[in-house]
Amino acid sequence: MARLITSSLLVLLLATFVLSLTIGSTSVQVLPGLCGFLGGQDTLDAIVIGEIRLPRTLIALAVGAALGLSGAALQGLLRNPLAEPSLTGASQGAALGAASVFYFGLFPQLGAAAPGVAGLIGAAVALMLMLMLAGSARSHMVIMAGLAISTVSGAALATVLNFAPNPYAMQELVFWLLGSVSERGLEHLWLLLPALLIGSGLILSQRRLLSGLSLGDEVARSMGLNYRYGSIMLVLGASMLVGSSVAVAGSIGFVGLLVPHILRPLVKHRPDRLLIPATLAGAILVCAADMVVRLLPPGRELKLGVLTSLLGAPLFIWLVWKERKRWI
Amino acid sequence: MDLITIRQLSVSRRIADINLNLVPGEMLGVIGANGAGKSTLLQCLGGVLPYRGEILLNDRLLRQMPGREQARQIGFLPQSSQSAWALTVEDVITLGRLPWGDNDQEAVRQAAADTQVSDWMQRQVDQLSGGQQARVWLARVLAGKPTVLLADEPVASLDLYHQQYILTLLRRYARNNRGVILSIHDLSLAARYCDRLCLLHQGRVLAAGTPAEVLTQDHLRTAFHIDAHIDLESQPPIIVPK
Repeated sequence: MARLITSSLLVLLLATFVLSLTIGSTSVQVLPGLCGFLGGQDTLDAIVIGEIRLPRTLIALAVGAALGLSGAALQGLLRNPLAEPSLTGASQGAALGAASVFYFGLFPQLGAAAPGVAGLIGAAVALMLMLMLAGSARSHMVIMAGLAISTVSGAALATVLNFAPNPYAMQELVFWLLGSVSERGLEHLWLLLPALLIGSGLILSQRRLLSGLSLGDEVARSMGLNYRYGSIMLVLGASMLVGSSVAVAGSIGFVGLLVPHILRPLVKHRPDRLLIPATLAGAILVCAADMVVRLLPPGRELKLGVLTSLLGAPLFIWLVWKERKRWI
Repeated sequence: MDLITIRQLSVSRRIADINLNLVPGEMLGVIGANGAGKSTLLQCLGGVLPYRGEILLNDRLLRQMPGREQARQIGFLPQSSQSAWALTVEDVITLGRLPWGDNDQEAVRQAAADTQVSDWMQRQVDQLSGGQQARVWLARVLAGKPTVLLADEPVASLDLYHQQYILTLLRRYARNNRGVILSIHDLSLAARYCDRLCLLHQGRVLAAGTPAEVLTQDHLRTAFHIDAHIDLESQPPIIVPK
């Protein structure tokens, strides 16, 4: 069953990728454009595909994958279906880092990639503080320490907003925080990719721990699993994923919470089997949401993070309702 | 040769200077009042709690064995189990194969049959009653085919029929050149099914030996502060507070 889900999602992912390349305000030939870009030509097709749509699509997929996977990993580790990536404090830290760029004008030499780099640094600092504060990876300590660091970062972020140098900087900052994958270049992808690969590697190496943890940490330890080391690896991996994705694309809500939740019954609730499907479905969802953003009438762009929240919140209410009916 | 040898086992403020052994084929019952250290002792053996002192498994120091090999040899059933997710009974039992890294279907099927849970393999474990769940958790440990099976109050939530059934099953499991250590509150059942008993009192061994050696008026008065009616000659043995 899990294999069937994974292969169906792979096919869907490929379809989303191709569809995303065809959607946009200019009508271009996708395949010739792609070939032209790879061949180094500078035809209109090659420029539109290679410099605008390909980076946007790949970043949407990567960000979605990161959010889906980190959500599934954290829910498995904390054994809580309501756990979500921002719980570690990494996403607020990333937001604060990126906001500092708009405020203080940090890293001017990096150009458009500056918020991304500062965001990564912010996520890393928040993560280190959280792990230091939590002391161990006990689930309630991670939640409390993550909440504490999130609150501190949130307060600092509010201060930055409060003292924004001018309305334009504030607007830029707020729009950035709302989450978007537009106007990103391949340099953003290079920023995202290493964190994505290392973070995913760390999480996937702990699949056995996630399985064992289904029955509690006592059982997991009695089965020879290193709970302390493994849970630190999971928190580290999830924070890298969410930190880098927030650093590049701002905050995109509900994906990390909802995707694992929706897929869970399809993999018979097994936390280890949820990881890959959640990665693929997260990628598909964010990319599809971005396509919707692009299809909306031109004018003031609806931000991707706003759209995922608008769609995610009712879905979440429905899930709570369904869960409630099971127990009443 | 001992299957398990425990020397000077201590966990600060919980248990102290425990010396105990388990021989192949034996079912050892750990008894004592609440807070006497029964669960702590089993948790040390199960690799869940750090401890001072020595535990040897087949004359090898447990501490020096890799976690996974230790888990293949020693199966641990905690006092209370819960599944965080709505896993199927089959998936829960298959988790018992985790230390082996396989999905040995035959072992899973056998464990389910032994605990009489085969009929619910595709049901979600959180939808079963407490007693049914207790048998599924035990099946999970059995599926790992450990040489030593540790069970912390395995019959606490079971009805009378299943109490007897599970204890007979555990004794049969031990007979196969393996060993079982279980903690148990029901002294009559302990006397009936265990080969030897270990009575813990305030973290120390008050008495260890055959049921007749351990279940004496003096010991029960010290450990439980009760006067008991003890009749080990009757079939089955009876130990009830007066």
